[in-house]
Amino acid sequence: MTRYVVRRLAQMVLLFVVFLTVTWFLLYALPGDIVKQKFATNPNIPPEARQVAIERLGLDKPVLIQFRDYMINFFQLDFGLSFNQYPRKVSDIIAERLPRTIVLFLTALVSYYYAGFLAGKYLAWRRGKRGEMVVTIGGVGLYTVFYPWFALMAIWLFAAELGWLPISKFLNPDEWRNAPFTANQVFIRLFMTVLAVSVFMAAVVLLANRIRDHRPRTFAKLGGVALGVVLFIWYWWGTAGGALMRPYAGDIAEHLILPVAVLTAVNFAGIMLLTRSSMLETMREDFILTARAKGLSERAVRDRHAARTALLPVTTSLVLAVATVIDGGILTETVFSWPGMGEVLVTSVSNEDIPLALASFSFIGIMALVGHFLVDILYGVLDPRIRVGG
Amino acid sequence: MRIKLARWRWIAVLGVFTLVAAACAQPGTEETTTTQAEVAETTTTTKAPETTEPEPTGYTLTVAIFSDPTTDNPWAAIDTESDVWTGYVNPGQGSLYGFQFPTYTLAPALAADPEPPTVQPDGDLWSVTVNLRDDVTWSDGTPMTAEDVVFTFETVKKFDGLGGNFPSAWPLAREDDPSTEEDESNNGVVSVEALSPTQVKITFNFDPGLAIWPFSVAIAPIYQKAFWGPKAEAAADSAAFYSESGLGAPNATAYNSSEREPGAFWRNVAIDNYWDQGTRYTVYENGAFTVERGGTTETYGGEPSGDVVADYVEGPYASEIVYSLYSDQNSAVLALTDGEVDFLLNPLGLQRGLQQLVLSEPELNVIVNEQNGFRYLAFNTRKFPMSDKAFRQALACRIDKEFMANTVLGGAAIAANSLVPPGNSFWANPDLEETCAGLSEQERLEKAVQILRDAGWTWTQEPVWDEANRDVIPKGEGLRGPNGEEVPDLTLLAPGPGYDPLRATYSLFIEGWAEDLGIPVKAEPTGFSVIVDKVFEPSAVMDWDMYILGWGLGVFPDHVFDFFKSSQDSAVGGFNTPGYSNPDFDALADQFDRAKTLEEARDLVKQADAMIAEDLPYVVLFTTPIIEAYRNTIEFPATTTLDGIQNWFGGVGLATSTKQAA
Repeated sequence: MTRYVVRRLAQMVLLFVVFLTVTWFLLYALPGDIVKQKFATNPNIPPEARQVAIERLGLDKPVLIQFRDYMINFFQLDFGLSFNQYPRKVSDIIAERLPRTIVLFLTALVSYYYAGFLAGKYLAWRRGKRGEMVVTIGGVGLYTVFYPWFALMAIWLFAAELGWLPISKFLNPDEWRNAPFTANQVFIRLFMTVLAVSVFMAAVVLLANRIRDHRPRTFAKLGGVALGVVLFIWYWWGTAGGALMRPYAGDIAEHLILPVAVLTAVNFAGIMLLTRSSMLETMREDFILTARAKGLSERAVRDRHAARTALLPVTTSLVLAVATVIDGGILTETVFSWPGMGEVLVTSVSNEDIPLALASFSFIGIMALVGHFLVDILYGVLDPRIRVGG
Repeated sequence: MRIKLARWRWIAVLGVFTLVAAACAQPGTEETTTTQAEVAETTTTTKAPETTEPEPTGYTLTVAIFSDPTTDNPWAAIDTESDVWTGYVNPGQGSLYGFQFPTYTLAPALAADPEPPTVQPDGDLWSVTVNLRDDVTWSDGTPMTAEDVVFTFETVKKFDGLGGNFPSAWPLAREDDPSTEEDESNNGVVSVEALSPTQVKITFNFDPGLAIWPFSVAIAPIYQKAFWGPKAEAAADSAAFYSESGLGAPNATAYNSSEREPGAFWRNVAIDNYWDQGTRYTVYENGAFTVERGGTTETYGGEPSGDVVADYVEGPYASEIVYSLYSDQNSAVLALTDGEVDFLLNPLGLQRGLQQLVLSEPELNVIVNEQNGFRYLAFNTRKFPMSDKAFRQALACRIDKEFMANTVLGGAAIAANSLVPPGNSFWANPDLEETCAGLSEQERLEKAVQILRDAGWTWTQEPVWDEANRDVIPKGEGLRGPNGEEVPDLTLLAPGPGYDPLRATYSLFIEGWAEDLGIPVKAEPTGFSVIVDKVFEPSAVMDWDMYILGWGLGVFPDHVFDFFKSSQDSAVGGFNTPGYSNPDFDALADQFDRAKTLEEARDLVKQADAMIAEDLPYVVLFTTPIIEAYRNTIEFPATTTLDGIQNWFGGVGLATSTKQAA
């Protein structure tokens, strides 16, 4: 296993260098450059100002020198200065955008995976019934809907007409007047507290699973969840730091509801169908027959035997999806005015802000490589039949 | 067991809901207020210093913007980071002169002289002495003096002229290389001296025309020495200087930047000691205006005549301006309809598709103005057949702009002929007519054929108008130039329909009209950046035939010369992409550079405009209307102005006199 991990890590590094090189040259092959785009069509900018910009951005050097410098700087974790927001560091821009992207898309991801898994499990069990037809048609209908239209309709209905939720954006400027925090500080704190509570709950549940007796095990799980909730409430209400930040976190959470709901409605069907087919396949296995023969309840057979095994492809898909969370989504970010990494990717490429585009792509590349690596390892852990070769 | 498991799950779900509810719940106001003050001292945020933030007392003007400003440093906002959004939200600095809303008449701002003084010879150099107002204060209450003007120039000089718009605003004089010819780009400002706290002398190394004085240096931004001086002193280079935050930096306008939350909003707050507050401006149709300040009334820009186009008292009326970022116009329109924002601020205006939606809302107002710019067809005059004037004239004759604007493009475009849009009334040449104006399609064809034939062009098959089919049957074939050279296959580059459907459509019609004449033109939808890369690249001047692009313009029409004088050829990095070279035109350009009065300059612009309309390196095709929407809860002093209301929102300009509706 160790040799396998080392070999995979080495492959990842090599693959990343190739990826970075190809991406660099592809971006540099784009027609024109940012100076032309920005200044050539502006009659107020004289040619000498264009030359100043070219020299500042290092575009006057030969391409191979630019590439060499970039690679050296990159591996020293210096991603350079943004062309479009000169002299702002690329790392600052990514650090600004990443928290809000992660909070939105990770929340949505967890939401639609959970909804999709529950619905898929239900469908497989209710195969051929009217309920299956309704849920499938509904889910697939939402899955195929034109997303920007659907999102706008949701904003129109729930925000503009009913007034239940805010009209896009991730905060309300009126409530942030003279705020002692930046939105990013709140995003990070919100994310960290939810993550800490989730990890705590997951740890309690995993530990509780080791308890053999049913009653104390259930009690331990319930207690763990309740304690997690209490800890969360205590932090946001009971501590000075939490209480001070709570109105701002609440404002962001309120703005989170609609995009998460829309993303969940549109995306859960994919996971639902994946779970359903996996469940159907599992339910044909002998061990399900054995479980039924033992006299277990239908719910126990479904949830404790079939669903757990059927979880494997869903988990794989989830890990890979988590790896792509930092891509954000340009449509969601645009319609809901939630500028994050998706917007950075699109604008940096269209503006030919090469350092910013490269750094963004690099993060995505690293996350994708790590995601695939984790999936490989996870397969072995989740499915005892799979073992990696030395 | 089944019941207990189900209960466990429900408790888990309830737990998650509790977490969300806990995060969403709002605390008591009292608790927030007290604790905020404690933490504000210790937390690093992007807020301005407390001293520059008066508590809002009036109304909040909320404006939707569609892209995040790139910087809060007002120096960087004019350099490479400059974009229209950054220009909108940065509250501006102040300048010696500015433009009067809504007519764009040059008007004194920080200067006391009603008209910009004339530049005079000063030994081997040229200089101008400007008197400053003695009642102007920065937003921190300190007086603005000549030292601030000197500091601004010296800072630009320290950082070698800076970049972006600075070389235009504060052009630096540089030494000519004695071994080469005199280089125009070395012309600029030699020095700026403070003769007294209210008198500043600006010295040039050449006799500047209007384009430099007053239309560059006199309207250049001036920064406060007390605030920026130490920062400029400490900065090793411009990058370090630009990294300084400008939030709360003193300025000489009515608002001061207060807060910025990247990706969400920008807030400017009204200052309580704005030096121009309460001044009454009455602007007349001919651009002249009166200023009533402190009991005295003065007249500027000539003798007033015509209707009053704006009559207002300078604010600020809004206690704060919040620029709220929306990434999508549809969401922003919903926010406008819902009362979340008062005005949609966009250099491109409202999408036409949303105009009807906005018109159906009684509490919203829609205004339509002409944009200060034009879309054009350019010929590469370095290559045959575009090098032949008759060829260009014949093709231009076939282009029916009114038909295109009104019928094909359904009013989304306004036919244009002049290089100066009619809305720029002082400079425009409304009498300039398009080639073959007023002719029917048949007459246009016949006229175009006549132009070519008269110039010695021949066909193997001459195009003929078929009245029965109302079409050109047969089309022209075998077109040859006066020297017998066959017309090669030509390419017309134009932005694709995804980028600009108007220009894409136009290119297809031009292709058809050209083919009627026997000119083998192929319209090629091309990415905007590809076209720009090709036509502005000095080494690629022979790699294209024709293209369609557009220009956004400033008020002072020096572009008329910059786009066509031979020294600006794109082969040497200039704006003259057609490679147009005409000694008569260059002579006009030289006269324009030396012009000392607006009237003299205007006459030269009109002559140049007419010359281009005759020679046609460009065929000006159309301009577009700018549609804007705002709630009836606010009131602008006027709504008819070139380039729309948005063009006056830069540096909080018009926002200062935007009132809450009665």
